[in-house]
Amino acid sequence: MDRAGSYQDIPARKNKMKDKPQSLLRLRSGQASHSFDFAQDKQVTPSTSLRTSKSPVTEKIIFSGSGGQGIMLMAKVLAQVAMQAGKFVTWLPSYGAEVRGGTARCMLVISDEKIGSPFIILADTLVAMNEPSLKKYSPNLKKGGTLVINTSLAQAGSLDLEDIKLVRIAATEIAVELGNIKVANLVTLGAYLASKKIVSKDAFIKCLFEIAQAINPALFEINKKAFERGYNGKS
Amino acid sequence: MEKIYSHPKSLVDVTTHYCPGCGHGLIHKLVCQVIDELGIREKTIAIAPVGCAVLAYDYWDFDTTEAAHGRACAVATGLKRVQPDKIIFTYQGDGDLAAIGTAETIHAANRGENITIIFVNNGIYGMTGGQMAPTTLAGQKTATTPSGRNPAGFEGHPLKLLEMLAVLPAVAYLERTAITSPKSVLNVKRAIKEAFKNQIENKGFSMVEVISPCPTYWSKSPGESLKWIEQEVIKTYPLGRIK
Amino acid sequence: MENKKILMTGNEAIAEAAIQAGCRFYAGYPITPQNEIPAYFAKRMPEVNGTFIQAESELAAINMVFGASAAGKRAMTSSSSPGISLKQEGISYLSGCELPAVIVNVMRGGPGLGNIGPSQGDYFQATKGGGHGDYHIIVLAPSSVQEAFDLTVSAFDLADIYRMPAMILVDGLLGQMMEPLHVTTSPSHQVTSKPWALTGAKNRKPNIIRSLYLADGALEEFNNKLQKKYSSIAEKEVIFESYKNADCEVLIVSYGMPARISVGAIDNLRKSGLKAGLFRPVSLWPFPKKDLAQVGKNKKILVVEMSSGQMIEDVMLSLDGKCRVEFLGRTGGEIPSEEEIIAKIKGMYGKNI
Repeated sequence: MDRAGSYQDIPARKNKMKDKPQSLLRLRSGQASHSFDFAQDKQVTPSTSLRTSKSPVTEKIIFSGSGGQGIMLMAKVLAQVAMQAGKFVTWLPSYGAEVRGGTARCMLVISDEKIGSPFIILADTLVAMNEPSLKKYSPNLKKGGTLVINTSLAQAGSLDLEDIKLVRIAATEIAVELGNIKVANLVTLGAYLASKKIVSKDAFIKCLFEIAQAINPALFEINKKAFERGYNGKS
Repeated sequence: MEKIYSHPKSLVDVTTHYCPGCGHGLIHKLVCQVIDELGIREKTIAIAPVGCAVLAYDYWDFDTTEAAHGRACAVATGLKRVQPDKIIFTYQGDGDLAAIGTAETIHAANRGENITIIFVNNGIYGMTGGQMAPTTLAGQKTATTPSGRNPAGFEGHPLKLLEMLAVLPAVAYLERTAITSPKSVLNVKRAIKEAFKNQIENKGFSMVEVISPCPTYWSKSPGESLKWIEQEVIKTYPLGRIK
Repeated sequence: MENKKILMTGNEAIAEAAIQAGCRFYAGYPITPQNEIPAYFAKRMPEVNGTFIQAESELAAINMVFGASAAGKRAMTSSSSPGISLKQEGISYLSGCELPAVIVNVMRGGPGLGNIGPSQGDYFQATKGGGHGDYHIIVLAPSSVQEAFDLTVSAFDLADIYRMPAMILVDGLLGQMMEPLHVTTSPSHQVTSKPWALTGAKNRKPNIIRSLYLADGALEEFNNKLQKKYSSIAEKEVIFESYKNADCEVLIVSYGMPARISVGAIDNLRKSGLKAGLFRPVSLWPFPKKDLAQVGKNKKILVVEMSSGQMIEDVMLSLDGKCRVEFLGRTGGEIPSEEEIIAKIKGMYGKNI
């Protein structure tokens, strides 16, 4: 049975590499290479001017809280800022049934180097927006790590905080004072970035502006205020 | 003092994982009350769905099996035919029963299998994040109908499975109920009891549809959800006995 | 979309890649952890005047894809493990009818209902048939969001060129995570002429799409033709990646996310003087047998999978018993860590292999 239009109809090209048959796909697309070069793939190339030391900087952050506190969003905003600053970034949410009414968590890895696993077992920083999530994820904070805690809803009292850098911020109270409880996440982000300047304050606000334009421009002002309060704030 | 009301024996005394305002907790309780009152707990075998109630067997104190998504009526057929003296019931959502399980549901009904079906209709796919269900209302926004379900745009009309099954001669009992108020809850219990009694008396295929709220994916408060059922859903899905 | 970088999840990147590749038909069904794919198409297809259908089941969806493909159009469906099991009959039919299609499997823990955690437990299903009969589908396994995008575009091209299904095999981790992505707007390499398609028999003999061959010897002849096609693909369309394996003593063979996690382990080990390297198959079918045989010569091999060991069999076949192959696996939605991989390799150095 003659089947017109099969792959056999594609004209043969002169084989540049002897004994190596050419991929029909690559013949059409003009690519020569057979394999990916991991180091050259199209991920963002980090800007070398951001390196502060010889060894590359990686920051692993676990954001946690209850569903509805905007955990995913706060991590997403920071991911966007870091990406624009030329860093490698991975963002991994908790998904599915895990999210329903319980603790929500988002894992964010920011690095000058290509990132292997997006899954964080031991974090450099834990951001805990409420008590249940603090209890659940404090075992995942490394010794010598940073704990950013929303003191309106969580107390670090019962934990062993030896060797942990504590950043306290009454995020929910500040957010309510500003008029919208939902911006507690931005207050917390401000407090975190003040303690670990992995991206600049100005870069953050610029990116926040762009994100607000895409979602709802009216939200920019209050989110900016919330971030600044957290950045400048006291516990 | 005489105890006149207590936690049903067949309902395991644990906190469920359901969202605030979900109908499953209440419907589980009604099914368990009926099973207790009819004294059939030790010969009841249930089939759990794939959906929010996938872990229903953690809440029921009788034999239960899982079934692949949509296949509960086929699994029920197998269970009943080899043990006709047992009481077999399926507990299914709208996707399980009326989307992927349409063929199994229709054919079990057509064969007149002597089983009981509890059909929980909340017009949405809750477990997977709020996608359209076959019973989603026209104009309703879901994750896969972001502009509102458009029947004229090949997205289908809300499927009325009870009405479809009514033409099958072997079907014994079909009733649509809703949980919107204490009075309606009593009515749901009455219908569920009738559906189980039919199986005990060998009367044949019996199905109770219970319109149930999903505040999470309807984006309404629990109270608003109940009002929504009373004012909107019942327009498309009228209550009452259909067969 | 301009050629700039944006943050996108693996699931969404795959969907957008399909749009960029000119796919205008998608049929699917909700199942975690790939729900973002149908949700993305529900919004995006109307923007490009394409068709999005939430089918009544995965079984219906693959058959809808069959129809769209028979008409000569680029078509995609996606699901996760249990749903892919439902599609196996359809995939066998697509293969027997020589119809192109792209199928996405975002693997979850199994067997049965399992859990929604990431896994690689469907390797056998994808590469050794899955459905009935003597057929193969092209299977591509990305390990980054960018690669998921690029390989999806390639999958459409390969499916069209060779007239067969192609599968994008990812795990739930890659589907759910976000990373920077360059969305290209350059068109993919469309096969413009599909004279076999069912477009109406005007001015030509009728086309028939069939996989039924009853005449004496006809089915064997057809199967021989399929096998010739598959041999040609095995020669030409192998894709793999090498990382620091030219001088390595221990060679990790891994695909998808565990391969990516291995890179971190390799860099770490090299700091303490242990020379590890990675061979990462990207095309799981055709499996890079010859290349692995060459790279793996005289090396200690460690296969890392999120399964109880499936690709390891292809690795052993490729190496033809010439090297001892060790295994590190996690099942049930668990993810192997860099630390586990490092510990395993250090253990391998201690032994006399």
